[in-house]
Amino acid sequence: MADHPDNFASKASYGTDSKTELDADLCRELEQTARQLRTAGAWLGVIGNAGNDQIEIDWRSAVVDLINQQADDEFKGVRWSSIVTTERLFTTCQLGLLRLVVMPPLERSSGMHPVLAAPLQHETAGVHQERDMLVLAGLVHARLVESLRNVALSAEVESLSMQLGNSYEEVSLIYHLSGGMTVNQQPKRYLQDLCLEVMQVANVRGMGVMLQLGAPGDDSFEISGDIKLPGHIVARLGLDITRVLREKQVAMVINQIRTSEFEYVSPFVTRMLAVPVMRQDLLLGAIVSFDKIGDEFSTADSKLLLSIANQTGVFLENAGLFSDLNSLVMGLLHSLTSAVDAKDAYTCGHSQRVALLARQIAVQAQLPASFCERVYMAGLLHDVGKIGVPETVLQKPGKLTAEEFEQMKDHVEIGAKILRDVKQVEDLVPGVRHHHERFDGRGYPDRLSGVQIPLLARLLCLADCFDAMTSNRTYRKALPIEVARMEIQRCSGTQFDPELADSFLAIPVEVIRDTITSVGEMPIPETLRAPAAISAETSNIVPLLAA
Amino acid sequence: MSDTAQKTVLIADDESHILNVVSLKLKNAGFRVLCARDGNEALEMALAEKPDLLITDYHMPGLNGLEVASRLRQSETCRNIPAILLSARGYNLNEADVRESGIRMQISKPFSPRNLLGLVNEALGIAA
Repeated sequence: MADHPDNFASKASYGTDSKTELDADLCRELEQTARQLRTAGAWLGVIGNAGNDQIEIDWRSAVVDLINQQADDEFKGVRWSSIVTTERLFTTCQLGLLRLVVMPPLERSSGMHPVLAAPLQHETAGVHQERDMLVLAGLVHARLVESLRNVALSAEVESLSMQLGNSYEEVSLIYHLSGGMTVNQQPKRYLQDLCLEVMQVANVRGMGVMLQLGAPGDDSFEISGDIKLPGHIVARLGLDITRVLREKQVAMVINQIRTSEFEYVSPFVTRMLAVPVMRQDLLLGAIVSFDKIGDEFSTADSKLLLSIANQTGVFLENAGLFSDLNSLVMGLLHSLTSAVDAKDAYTCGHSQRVALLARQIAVQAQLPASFCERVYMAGLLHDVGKIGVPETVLQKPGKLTAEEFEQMKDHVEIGAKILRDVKQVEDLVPGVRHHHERFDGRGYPDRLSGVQIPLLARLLCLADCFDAMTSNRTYRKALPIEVARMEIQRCSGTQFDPELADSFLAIPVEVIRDTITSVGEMPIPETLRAPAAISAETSNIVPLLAA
Repeated sequence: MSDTAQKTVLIADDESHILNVVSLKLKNAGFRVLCARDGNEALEMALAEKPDLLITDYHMPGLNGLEVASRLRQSETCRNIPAILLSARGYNLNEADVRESGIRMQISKPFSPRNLLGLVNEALGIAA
């Protein structure tokens, strides 16, 4: 006889129809115990009431070979009530050639009583036998109860671990979500990527995202995953979901789409869960799950999706506030730059060009992208201090006196003071303050040299001087780009950081020409045109003056 | 699952819920799983059983996760066992210490068991 648990369950029948099935854990325990008892000359089985006072019997398969036929014969015609006197007691009895101890039923045995059996012994030996078997049955019963409790406990641990594992997935997903959302990111793109993760954690077949409802060009309903809907259905579904969510403002769970108002998607989708993305009372969008695999959508599913939607709502709100604040600050800074340009019409467009050129050099020098953007900002602001320099000095045609030059030099410190208290640009202050330092230490205001000069300032210095040379000034005409480049090369290591100068010279001339001509220059009035071109030999003094 | 049937993974963590979740996930994926509840036990079990992979928490009684990994590095027979470190999110470990100990992969708690299984397969060179 094959030693396999399936045999026990299938053999659990003596009466006409078996209605009893033992669970697999119990079978395993019974079988193991029976095998051990067999070596002690005893058999273990289970009996139950098959109805009509008939006995239903199942001997463990490990022992059926010997006892089966005998037991069959012995039990025929025996009434259930004649051997089981009470459910709760250990009962001994004799049946033909067998001595039995019937034990109380086990919790998971559906009314089946474990039975210990041994070949009947008589007289004194029989008395001993009865006593020994009762003791043994007590031990066997206690062991079975204990094992089943352990089995139940480990099954419970397993099921809790499974649930806990799912919670881990969800928590980690939400962490991932909140960590990955940064304000300068496209929220919709990000959410779509996220949906791929959610699909696996939530075990759904597809997901859809709608964001920025009503915003032109970005209110489409995009579906990812294994759900293919025709375009017109997607559009209609998007509108309908929006309408329902706008009305209800809570999660919408539809487990039977065929009988819902979304019946028209039933050829493609059977279940749907949609949650609103809200910003206060305003519906910003929706996140939708389609077809949970092998199950209906539950409140746990809607909770998970809602927490994602809530985070998205908060994120969108922050992104909105951030962008408002950013444009406010940027607007103010641009006004400031314009104010300077208005004061000094001859350098109009200069800040813009320095910003573009400095960024180009930074990119060429392979500095980090985020730093390159700060370089651009610093370029725009590098001359804001000129707002504190008298117009007579700024607009003076011809050479400045020593005193005027001192006044001009003040613009770097004035600029640093103005920007120091604006949090959004405080990191640019060293660049603004030191953009007139020279690499050889002969610049101003602090006569810093080499790498003592902040990198930002060294970049600005290069871009500033180049643009000054290639622009028309009150005191001279613009130099050709090629001449200005030669000047940069000539002053590399004295005025300029040689490495940055090399980076600059590596930028093709056409690229530089396009950059500086992309910024409009105000026409210079005829009366203020420089009287004569300055020769290339003397032009190295220009950058110092052309502040 | 046949290619993972022979692989043994040792998990060390003093939090039993982590042990339960991770071992269930790995057992279901066909791995043989051993569990240790502190650093010393982890080291003993690793030296005795020579698992194919170690997953260890950083904070444990006795030896911490990096110490367990670097002790294994010093053993002739266990020096090539790859190790994955579990650490608390936001707890910044010194990169150099981590590299020094031979830890190749890190995952921070709360982690996704699914991602961890992916890392395990990657560490053992099993196509997912």
